[in-house]
Amino acid sequence: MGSLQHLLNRPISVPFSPNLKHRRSFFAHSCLNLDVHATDSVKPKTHLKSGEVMEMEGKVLVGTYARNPVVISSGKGCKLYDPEGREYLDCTSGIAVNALGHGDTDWVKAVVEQANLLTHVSNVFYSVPQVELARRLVACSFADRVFFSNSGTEANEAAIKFARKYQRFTNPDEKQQATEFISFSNSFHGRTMGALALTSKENYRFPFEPVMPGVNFLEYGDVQAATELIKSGRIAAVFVEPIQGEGGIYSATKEFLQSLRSACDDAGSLLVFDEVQCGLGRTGYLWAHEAYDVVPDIMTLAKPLAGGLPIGASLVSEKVAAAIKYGDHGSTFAGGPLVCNAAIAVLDKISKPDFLASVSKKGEYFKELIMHKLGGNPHVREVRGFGLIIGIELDVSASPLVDACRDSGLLILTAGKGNVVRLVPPLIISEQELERAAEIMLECLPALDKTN
Amino acid sequence: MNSIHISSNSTVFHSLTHHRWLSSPYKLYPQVIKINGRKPLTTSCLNIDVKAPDSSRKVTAQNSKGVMELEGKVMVGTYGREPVVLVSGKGCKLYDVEGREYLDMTSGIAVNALGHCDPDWVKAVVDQAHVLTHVSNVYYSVPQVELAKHLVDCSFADRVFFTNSGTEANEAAIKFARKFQRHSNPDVKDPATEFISFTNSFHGRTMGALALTSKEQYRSPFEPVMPGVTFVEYGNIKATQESIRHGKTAAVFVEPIQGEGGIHSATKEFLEFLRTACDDAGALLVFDEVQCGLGRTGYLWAHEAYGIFPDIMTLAKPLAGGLPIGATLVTERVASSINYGDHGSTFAGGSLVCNAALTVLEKISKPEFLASVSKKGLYFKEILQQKLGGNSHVKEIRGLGLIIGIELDVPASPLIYACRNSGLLVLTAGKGNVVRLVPPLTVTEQELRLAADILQNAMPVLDENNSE
Repeated sequence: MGSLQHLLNRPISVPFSPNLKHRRSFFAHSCLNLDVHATDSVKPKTHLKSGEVMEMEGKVLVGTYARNPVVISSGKGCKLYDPEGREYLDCTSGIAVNALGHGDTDWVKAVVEQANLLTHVSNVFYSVPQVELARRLVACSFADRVFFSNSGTEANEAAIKFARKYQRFTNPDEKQQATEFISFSNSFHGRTMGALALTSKENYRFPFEPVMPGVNFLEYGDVQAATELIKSGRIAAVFVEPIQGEGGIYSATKEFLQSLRSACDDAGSLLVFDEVQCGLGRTGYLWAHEAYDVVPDIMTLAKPLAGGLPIGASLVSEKVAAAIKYGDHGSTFAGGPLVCNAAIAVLDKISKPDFLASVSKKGEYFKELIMHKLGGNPHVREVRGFGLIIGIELDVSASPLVDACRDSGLLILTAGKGNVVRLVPPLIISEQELERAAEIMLECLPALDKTN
Repeated sequence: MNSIHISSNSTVFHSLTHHRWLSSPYKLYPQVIKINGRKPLTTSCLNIDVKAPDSSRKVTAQNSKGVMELEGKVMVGTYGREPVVLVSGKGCKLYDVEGREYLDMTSGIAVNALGHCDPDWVKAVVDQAHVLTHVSNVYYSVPQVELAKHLVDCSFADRVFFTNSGTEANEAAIKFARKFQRHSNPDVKDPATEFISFTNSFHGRTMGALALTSKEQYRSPFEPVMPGVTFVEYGNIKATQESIRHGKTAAVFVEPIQGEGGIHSATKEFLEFLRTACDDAGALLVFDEVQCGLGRTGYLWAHEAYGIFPDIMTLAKPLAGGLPIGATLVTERVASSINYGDHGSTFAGGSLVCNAALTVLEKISKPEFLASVSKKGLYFKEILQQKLGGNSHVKEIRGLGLIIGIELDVPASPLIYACRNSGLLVLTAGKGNVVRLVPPLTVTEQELRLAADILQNAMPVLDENNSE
């Protein structure tokens, strides 16, 4: 009753048809809390059928996602289930997030324990899991310090800010400080205005111009162009994914990354490796850059770090950290005890040498299987990637294959221009499951011929 | 596969890393060592020499000092933290490593609306963690859709876009506003792309939301940020009128109650004016209720107190009871300009976070809950006025519901410090001279009395040291 009494002389209306456009000019929308029955809405309505869920989504969510027509309601290991109980083999891991699969026992334990202790206090105060997680990340990487965030895009935004501050800090007297960035074709760094400015796909940026200024796009792998531009002295940092995920599963060459490293050193620019997708064991190395013997000044992480909970991290060297002061950057949620405790469970597992070795082994096996079973098909141009990030480039759109696989109980993703099948299963996937995945894909290949 | 390669012409990075993995797992104080007269560069990765971190060994939980020291070594120094290490909480009480108890009037910066370890919230998290945590937005999932439906049912909005934080919610609002303008004026060569924001505003730290945040120190080291933002004095109708321009202004961003900025509430007249001005100029009105929304004012939405409705409302902080979440609520008119692929997020709308949020929303939106927030807010303001109002340092006590600011004529830090020593945690706002009180909405009247008493008893500390 309280809230209604305070509304000022406005007619109250009960909602409303979504078709009325200028509704707000005519009605005051009262909160419906009076009409909501408490007990019904506490539990998620698990009795909702797939069709109902999809319909409801179409009515109440902003239409940003063209989703696959599957409603996922539960999961265990590498298996996912819809409300009707149909089972799917998961080779997407929620876009390379569920590295330990679904419902990992240790992860669940870490979440349950911490949820019963302390979830969030903000960064006004100290808390333990955050510091523990940072210690571990520092201990097993090139980095000296960590800044936590809530997502990959936020981790890249922090990297952008740290790079610009670093340049201003190290060259305080210079009239023209390096504030620009280099990013590459087929890159993906995020959707917020800074990270978006670094993301090459024009359709992602154009409707929202002007984004953050100062980004130069060069061709991924073009050593000469990159070296020349870095020499100009205008570049605060170079952002590069050692393996481009969204862009199509393209791996950098050692020469490319080494040339970026040298050029950055000579010019005083920073080298930022975006390992949001390819980091944390995905390649069979803990960090993708280990495969190249090149070490960055900043590395951004997210996706698998907290096993499905929102998290990001920007790992930096001491020289970068030294430029950052209290108040320069921040986040209310980031580094929270619950999310960090979950991340500790994930990091502890993934960083074990046997775990990483098994990812390598399974990755090689999977690639072999795929080459063997699919390599002969005329639509298959290339099978690439390493560890458990694999791309199958086709000469046609991959969607019919994705659809057919889904109908056969296998979930896979696409990448690049839609003609690359992206396979990023949970890192705990078994060889048997990989065999099954390869088998299903083989059986479904004919779907590519139907529409052609 | 995991071998170290130390290439011939460059060597190990800032010795601390070199020394660290050869000697101990802990970072030593940084020393730079030059090898062969060259600046150290590591080309090797460290993982093979570091033992897999032992999760059973919580070395840092031994004492507060140890934790604070370690933080100082391994985290980027962005936060000037209060010297308290919190390890557990229940209701409105928090406990540090040594077991000291604190009364929480911060709720993690207006996040823990249901206090710590609310049983229903914990159940929602535990239950969902056993079922499904995340699948991404490539697929449909149930809690997300349920949560969106509830938000739509109890607000002006027709549709929801989920994010992982308040800054991300504002970034989405920025993008939606610009897309809306382009979409509604497809033949216009230069559609409206600019924004108006206000003095003492805070919308976030990522490059778009940052551009909307007035505090210059937050922006200047990172220029150039997103262009197109004009700052106008909060509450100044005339100045705003001069700045909103048809065909130029895409949207106006305003907090009905400015939190970080100092607990300044808009007047009804100001918000009414903004609504009309936006309508006339074809601009969108965005209410940032990241801090003041979701019951904080005693109303479900702060704007209900004014009877003015926005085109977009951004939420975050308390929505999922402490888990990272943000939401951008929009009208159909705005939503209809957004297409597949325009925006996205990997994590946002995840099943576990949304299931937690369903519990929070369900509790907060109950009329009795909101009424009690109102009642407690009035009561708290009264006793603060009684106990502190007479003190010469207190300029004003303001706010609505359980977001209250005590403006002082001196920096508030000595008071914060003294309160903390007496077991009360409070925040500051504005230029550091405003005490910000944003307790869990479940705080009891008894706890509010205790808080007011502690504040009163601590006031003399403001006289001890008046100079900066």
